[in-house]
Amino acid sequence: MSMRLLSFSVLCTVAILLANPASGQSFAYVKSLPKDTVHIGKPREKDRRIHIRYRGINRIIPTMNVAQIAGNMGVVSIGLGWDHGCRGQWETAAMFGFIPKEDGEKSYVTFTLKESFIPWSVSLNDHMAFEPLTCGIYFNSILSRDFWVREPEKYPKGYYGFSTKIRLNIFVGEGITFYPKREGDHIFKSATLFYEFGTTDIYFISRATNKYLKFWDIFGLSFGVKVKLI
Amino acid sequence: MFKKAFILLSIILVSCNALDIHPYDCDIKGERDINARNIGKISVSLDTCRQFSFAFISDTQRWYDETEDAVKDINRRKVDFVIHGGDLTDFGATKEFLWQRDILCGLRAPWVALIGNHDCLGSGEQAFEAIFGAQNYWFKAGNVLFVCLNTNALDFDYDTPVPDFSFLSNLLNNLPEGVEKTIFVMHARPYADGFNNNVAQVFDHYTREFPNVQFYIFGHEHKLMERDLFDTGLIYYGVSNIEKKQYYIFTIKDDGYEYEVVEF
Repeated sequence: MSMRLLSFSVLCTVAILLANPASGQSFAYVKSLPKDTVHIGKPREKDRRIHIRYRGINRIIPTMNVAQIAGNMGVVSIGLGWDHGCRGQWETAAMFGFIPKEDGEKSYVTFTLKESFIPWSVSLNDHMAFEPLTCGIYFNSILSRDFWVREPEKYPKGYYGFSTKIRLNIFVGEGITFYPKREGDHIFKSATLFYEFGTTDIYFISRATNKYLKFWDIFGLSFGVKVKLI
Repeated sequence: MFKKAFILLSIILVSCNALDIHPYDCDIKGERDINARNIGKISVSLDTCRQFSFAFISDTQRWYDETEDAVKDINRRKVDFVIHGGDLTDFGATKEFLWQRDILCGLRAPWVALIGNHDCLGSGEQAFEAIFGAQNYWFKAGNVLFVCLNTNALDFDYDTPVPDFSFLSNLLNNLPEGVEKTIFVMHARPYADGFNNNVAQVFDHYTREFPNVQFYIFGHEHKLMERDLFDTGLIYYGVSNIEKKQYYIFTIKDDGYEYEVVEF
């Protein structure tokens, strides 16, 4: 099943990459920098990340596409992202995920808002870098009326005391980034493959008070790909 | 080479359930239809028995360690079957159901579970139905009819009848052969916060139409209770949550019943 999912997610990334308005912009960047981009940060020996960003209103243009498998946000999630920080250590991503029907009543779509911190990038050679740590949090929401943010009014106050709709997740992981061989020939700046270990609030709370639950009960693996456009 | 390695990795990951799709993904791995299978065992093993005993536990949500201890304790005693009064989960998440199922499958006696109000949250209702079966069901142990009902009306809208009187009337009109006594099992008792209290009296009236009602058992309130709710002489027994390390053992005899509160 995972094989099919992976190829699906890769396909989605390619599709969204082609459809993204920023891809044209970044193409322009590699040939000749568009006038509305600014550089922040200087090259370092090991961490060669340089953050290039848009100016003003153009900052809302996404700088990357993301696809991710599992991670308590659906079988596959795809979305757009923005990087910030002088080396682009911070990344914000907005993704839509898909939960298949399985034994349930229906399938669901979820929305995820994810913030990652990637403090280091270790340059391996001219075309490859290793990110030894990525970590962060994300909020995931099932887009369905069957789930609620706040308990419906029919319940006495604080009857359940949690939201079935919004989940807070934490994760740590690693990544490896590939830079195209010759700059200028590619419509993207870099592609990163990453994995994450993550858990969600209700699993974490369950583990906190029970020895019965083990690491793999509450933590899950997730894989993904990020394609940076500028 | 790479493809083979990738397929192998996928198989490993999927088989050890390392990929978490979503807490409410309703992806049920492992045993299903537990109630139907165990009801089969109960009716076969107690076919002509007129005396038997069963344990009643409830509200095991997010108390996995205590639930494990309860299973060990019940296994040390002689009971013919076990009833779980609902609230297996705290959040209605699929994995919570699976964790509870896996612990309770350690019971040596056959067991059945009812749906609790927490089990109705999110996709919990569907997960419950996939793992355990229908929300309203009955089974026969010896000459006793056990009627297990979803009484969590607060978690449903008016389009879903809770408690389901059509289910009761169908059962009443087609009583299984050899039934001499009846015991009702539910999660929330009449006049509890989750019950549809507009029909509390009707519920009492209707359930007493069944042959020789012995008593009613329920969970939900996390404390031991013993009440004659409708002044009919029929007692409603409430069991505490498993955190308090208590459960009931009821022994059905030819001339009545006995019960014991077990502390472990």
